[in-house]
Amino acid sequence: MGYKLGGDLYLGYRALVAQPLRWLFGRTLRGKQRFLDNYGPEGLVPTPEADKLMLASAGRCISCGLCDQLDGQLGALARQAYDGVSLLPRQTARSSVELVHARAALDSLDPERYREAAAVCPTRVPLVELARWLRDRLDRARS
Amino acid sequence: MIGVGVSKPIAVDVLVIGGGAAGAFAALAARERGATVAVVRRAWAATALSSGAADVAPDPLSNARTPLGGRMSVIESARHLASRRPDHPYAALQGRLALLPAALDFASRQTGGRLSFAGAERENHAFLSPMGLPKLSAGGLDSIVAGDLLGVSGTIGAVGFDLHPIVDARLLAAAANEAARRAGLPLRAVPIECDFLRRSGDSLLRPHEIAARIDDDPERLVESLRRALPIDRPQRLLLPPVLSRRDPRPVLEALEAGLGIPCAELLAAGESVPGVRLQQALEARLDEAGIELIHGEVYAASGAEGDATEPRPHTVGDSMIGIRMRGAAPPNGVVASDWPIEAGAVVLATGKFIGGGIRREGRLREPIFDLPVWIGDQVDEGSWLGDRTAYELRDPQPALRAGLRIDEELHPLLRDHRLLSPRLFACGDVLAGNDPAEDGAGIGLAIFTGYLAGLEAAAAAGLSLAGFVTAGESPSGERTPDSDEAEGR
Repeated sequence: MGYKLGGDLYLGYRALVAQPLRWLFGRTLRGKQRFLDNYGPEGLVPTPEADKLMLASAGRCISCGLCDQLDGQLGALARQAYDGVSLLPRQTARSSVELVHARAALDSLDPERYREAAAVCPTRVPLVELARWLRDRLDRARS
Repeated sequence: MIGVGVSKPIAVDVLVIGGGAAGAFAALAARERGATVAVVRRAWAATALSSGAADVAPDPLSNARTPLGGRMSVIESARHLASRRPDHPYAALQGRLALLPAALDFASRQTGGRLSFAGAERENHAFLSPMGLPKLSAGGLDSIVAGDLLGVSGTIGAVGFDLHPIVDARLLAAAANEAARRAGLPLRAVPIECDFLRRSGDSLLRPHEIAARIDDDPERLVESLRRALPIDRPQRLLLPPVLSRRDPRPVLEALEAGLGIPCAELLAAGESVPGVRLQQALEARLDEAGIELIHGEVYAASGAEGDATEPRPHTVGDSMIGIRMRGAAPPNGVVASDWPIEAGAVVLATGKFIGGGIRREGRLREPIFDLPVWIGDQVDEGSWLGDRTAYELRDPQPALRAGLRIDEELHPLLRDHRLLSPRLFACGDVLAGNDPAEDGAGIGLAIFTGYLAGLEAAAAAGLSLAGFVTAGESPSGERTPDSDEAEGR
């Protein structure tokens, strides 16, 4: 009983006194900055509407592997760092946390060279634009 | 060859939408009749993913316990499928199945023998899958047909690369032996593991990379196999389907010359190198035949992408109008403006779910002409797809049979069984009633319906059809009483 009363009083103090004083005089972070402070170190960045559209495009990938057969840059990096352009929609685009693992590929490969691979994709995943967007997203995650 | 971007309005006798096997053979059939033809396709699809076999119809008695079935001929099997499944395209085309041999001959001829068939009057071949199961099929790419299990007796060598998982030679040989025992085939498979892929990182190579490696140095594969062959030499070698990215014939010749043993490829599973080879061979043939392959997307001017006030695609004079096309991220990176299309006839060969010929947008729909999509004898109105699928993969999956219903002249039907246009035809996987996995009619169906659709389209465009059996005629060319009625529709 005593513990419950103590807990209720503490919560009441936080809600009625401490928090309003913090709002009035304390350093408060809200919205995007607060999100970045909390999650930025883990590589998570905000996902605006344009990003969601690109993620939906990447989500159309059916892992058929046809694009990899026309990926002239496969073999340019160690296989552990880059296993073909289909990796971009299948894995890299899933989460900005994954981007750090694709850094070597995104930094060194040329998105323009994915045009032929994109032209054969049955579900029209925009591989060139996706690679460019992932670079940009990686930059945002780094900053 | 990815195709050119669209740069001007298109005016042709026959427009084919879709560049897989059905579209390619429709285009080639129309071209052979003298039509000017353009093929518009937005991407590769199911043909480029195929195993390298060309299924026409399965033997109805074939199953895991009796792999060779009742040994019915290919055309008998197709007739059986038509009689058993009234919603199947073969049922709609039952009166024209006599043209199946001509269609298969046509496909073989047009590909310069790259596609090879047993002949419609003969039984299916039996090919070995990478899992060691025999698969009955009328034909396929010549490098795979050379591995017909029915054409060999004694010992076959199941080849794998010792440090690469693409084919596990021991598992393959064990499974093949079990399948041969059930089928009563006088065969014994022995595993042969060669050391062709031994460099650091080779075990991670993708199939097309192995194919490129073999293209670069086929003699090294010959040497590797020579070291791996047992003293008691097999009568035939079945190799992983990665012998070349373009044409495996030179590699097969080098192997056979170097080893003195006939060699062939297994069927492909995922990431099919033979499928891409077939796609590229078809595109090369289109180019040779003077058919323009355009990279782009076709849409109806009255559809969701166009002006809603436009009437649906319709016929004016001798042409079908009301359709347009735009570049679909052409390979040169230049986004082209869109252009009107004027064609004497249009063949829809857009495939099913992978090709984009059927899409689910609330309901299943055909995205270009908004034709009704049938599942069984009903038009899909947006039903929950869970009701159209079965939990067990081996059970029939009605959703995979969704598509367009056609009449005997391959015109797609509207909901009330009228035609959208007498100048519009459909062929291949966009047709309703066929699930390639369950029904066993894959690229063979595409070849047959593509061939017929191409000839029908050429006829609709006003070109001569001498020697061609149209609906309403008997295979001998005599007119039947229905002919005039059919033409007057």
